[in-house]
Amino acid sequence: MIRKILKYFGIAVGIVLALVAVFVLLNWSQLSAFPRLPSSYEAKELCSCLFVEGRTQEHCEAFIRQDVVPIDGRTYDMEGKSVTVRALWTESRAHHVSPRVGCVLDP
Amino acid sequence: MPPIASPLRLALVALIAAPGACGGASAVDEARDAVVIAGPPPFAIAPRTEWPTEGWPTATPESVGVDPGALAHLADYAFARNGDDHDRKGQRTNALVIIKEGKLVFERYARGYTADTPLLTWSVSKSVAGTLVGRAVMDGRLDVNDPVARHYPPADRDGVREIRVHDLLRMSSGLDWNETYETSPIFSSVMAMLYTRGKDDMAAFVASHDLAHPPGTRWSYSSGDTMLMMGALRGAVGEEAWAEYPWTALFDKIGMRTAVWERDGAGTYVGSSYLYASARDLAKWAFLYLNDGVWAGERLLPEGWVAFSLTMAPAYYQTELTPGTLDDNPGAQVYLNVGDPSRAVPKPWPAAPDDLFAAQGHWGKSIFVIPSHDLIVVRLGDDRHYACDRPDADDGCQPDVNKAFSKAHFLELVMATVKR
Repeated sequence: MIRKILKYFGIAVGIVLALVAVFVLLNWSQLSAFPRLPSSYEAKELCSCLFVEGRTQEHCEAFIRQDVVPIDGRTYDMEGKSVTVRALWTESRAHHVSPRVGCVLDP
Repeated sequence: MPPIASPLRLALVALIAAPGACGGASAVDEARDAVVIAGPPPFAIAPRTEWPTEGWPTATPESVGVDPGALAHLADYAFARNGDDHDRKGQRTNALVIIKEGKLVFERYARGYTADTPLLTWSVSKSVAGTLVGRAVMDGRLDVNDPVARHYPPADRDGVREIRVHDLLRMSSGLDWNETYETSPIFSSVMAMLYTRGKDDMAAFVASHDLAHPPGTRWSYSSGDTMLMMGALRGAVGEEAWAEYPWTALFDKIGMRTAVWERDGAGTYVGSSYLYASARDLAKWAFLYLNDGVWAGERLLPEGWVAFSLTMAPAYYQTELTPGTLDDNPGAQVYLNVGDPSRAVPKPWPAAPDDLFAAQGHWGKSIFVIPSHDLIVVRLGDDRHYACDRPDADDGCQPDVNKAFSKAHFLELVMATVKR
């Protein structure tokens, strides 16, 4: 009886894993890009908030706050006008280019 | 793509880019009826003696028929605070500017913003991007009937090459695109475009998508369509003029001195999302449209451009509406207030007249223009919760209009200021 249950359980787990694998493969381009999103979003929007809108760091951090993904760190270069954010094992940097064209994310 | 394909591709591009030189139009050209930009303005144009290029002339509300009591009521609503900045609840208005009969009758700023701050506009940018296309049409640099691929070679792909510039203006490209924001970040095409896979060249990212529908047959709100449009605009304008184009074509002409327009990694202006400007300067964009594209005696937009922009996208009428799109009345990068009587779809803002048009952006950015009252209302906020503007709305919206910003209620209060 227990053996039978284990067998069906094993098959079920196998099917679920296979389905997950198929899902991951089919959506690989989206899934693999996702870890960059939180740091990239924060870096760009913090840069613009600080150096285009000219707001305070406190205001800007409240503006970009998202309560989903934890942020590992933010580094501000107020002189060089750039912001670097680390999250989900990636790092993104945005810098201020000029008064007319504001900020852009690094490649 | 293997390198061997490049010469072939270039040859195809050359063929499409120079039909005149080849002695005939390509097959793509004849597939669909041409859009004609012509004709009178869609509303009566008030005569002007003053232009706000150097700043808005001011007037007391009473002198231009605005009820000061109703105005105070409107301001109370817009600037009510129902939470601190941490919980991000309530109205969260940053700037409110009201222009009546070409004169500034009211402005107020909050949360540290001022009359000179260039404010984030998100998708209000799209409406101004549409204006840049109109400027290029005026200068003969492109035609709304041109295939996008004529100006933007990466769009010269199967299916995608059928997309016309007017399809993009009307968000009817048919591209397989997922425009969600915070709700589905992994599968959001727009988040990928702005922040991950597309950030280094947004137009190219959009052009790499396949079609979900034939171009011009479905309306679907898309930042991708606007960015592909920017790619085409850049190609049409040429690299030399491109660097300064938003300024030389528009901002310098109408005095939008606070404007900042950010670019992607490839140097294409992010027409979908990243225009920053003061509320006063954004009102100048609206004023240009109120004057049918004429500014201080100079015609900046082709005759008929404003009427075209304020005509509902034809594909809208073939598109099944969802609760999320029921309030969207798409013109060309501009929003209307007419609904669809043939399908019993009410207009989004019942208190406001049918001639209202709007530029709208995420988190409560709006420019409302009401030609029949010669009225411009710029309201820029940072709303993270929306009031339910429909009684049947059921998407986590706030039912109490006093606890979250409601555009419908706001426009009710706006109309109360100009009741005669």
